[in-house]
Amino acid sequence: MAVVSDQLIAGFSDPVQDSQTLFRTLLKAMSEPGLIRQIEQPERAPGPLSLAGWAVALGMLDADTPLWLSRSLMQDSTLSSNLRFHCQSPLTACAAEADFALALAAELPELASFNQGCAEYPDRSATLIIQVEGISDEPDWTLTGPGIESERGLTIRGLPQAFTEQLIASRRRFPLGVDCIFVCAEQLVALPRSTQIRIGGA
Amino acid sequence: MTASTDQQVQARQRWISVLAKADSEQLQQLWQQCLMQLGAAPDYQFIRKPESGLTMLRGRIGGSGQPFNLGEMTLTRCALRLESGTLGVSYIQGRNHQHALLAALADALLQQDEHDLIQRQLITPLASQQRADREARDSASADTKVDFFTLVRGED
Repeated sequence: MAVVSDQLIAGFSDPVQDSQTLFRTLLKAMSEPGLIRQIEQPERAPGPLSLAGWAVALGMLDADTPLWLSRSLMQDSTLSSNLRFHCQSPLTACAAEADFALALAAELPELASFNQGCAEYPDRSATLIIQVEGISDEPDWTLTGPGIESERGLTIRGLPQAFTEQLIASRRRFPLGVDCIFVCAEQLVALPRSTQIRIGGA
Repeated sequence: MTASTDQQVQARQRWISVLAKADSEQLQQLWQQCLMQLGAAPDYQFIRKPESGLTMLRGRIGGSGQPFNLGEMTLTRCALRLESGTLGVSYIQGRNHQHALLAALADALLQQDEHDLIQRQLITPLASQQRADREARDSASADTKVDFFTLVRGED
């Protein structure tokens, strides 16, 4: 699919500074799983993508990171044009080949279809950027693991039940597994594979 | 793709090429003259601010052999959108951000009503200057051309 020039929007206003800020935000989010972070840039996002999702894409994707898009995101020419123009990442139709996946929560395929890494190189697994309906710190889930002193509550709205179960079960395969970044509007929260999830409050 | 859009693409490739290879100072001077005729500087918004980087140049021996990496060169690129919605892009040699900006602006203006003015005031003089430079270089090097003759050695 060619880039449609009418639909291109501006990326980060200061690419160097803003991608470093985004990277720092993401690093904080990954090292303290379940803490909700706010992003400041960019000001506009293409198509159905949230600002936080677009910020992660601008900061993390480049020509060396194959990207998988969920169905309706793949069909959105505004989004794919902007991803091609600003990130240059190759779009792949096969989820297992992707280093990054950008998906709407409702369209998530089975967790097992993403690259979980291999025993020699668990770091080669995929990172999922999942756009959800809402994120809050109410204790719908209880998180424990590295980066959490005792335990932390988190609610992700709009995540399919089946995917949640697969995500919880995938922790048994540690160090294999995927890292998730949940995005909604300007908020993002990260769940690395080291975080244990328990359904229900403390 | 229809014939007319093919021609449009070729025309755009030509002016983008001229803008990319133009001398920065000459481009600035001609742009100032264009501005006077345009009245006001066009309003625009950056899609991609001018940014410099390296790109690998690839070549083929004789134009058809195996591709090989010739070397890296500095390159500056820029993309912007005019108020009217037209998108202009530029890729230029070197790291002159002002040159990249002007080339992108000119590319955008050349795609709309200002085409004739910019073509006449900017592209035509730049192209003729580039042609003259090339001819001067070619004639200077033609003087030093050596033809080698070998005697038939009777091997065949």
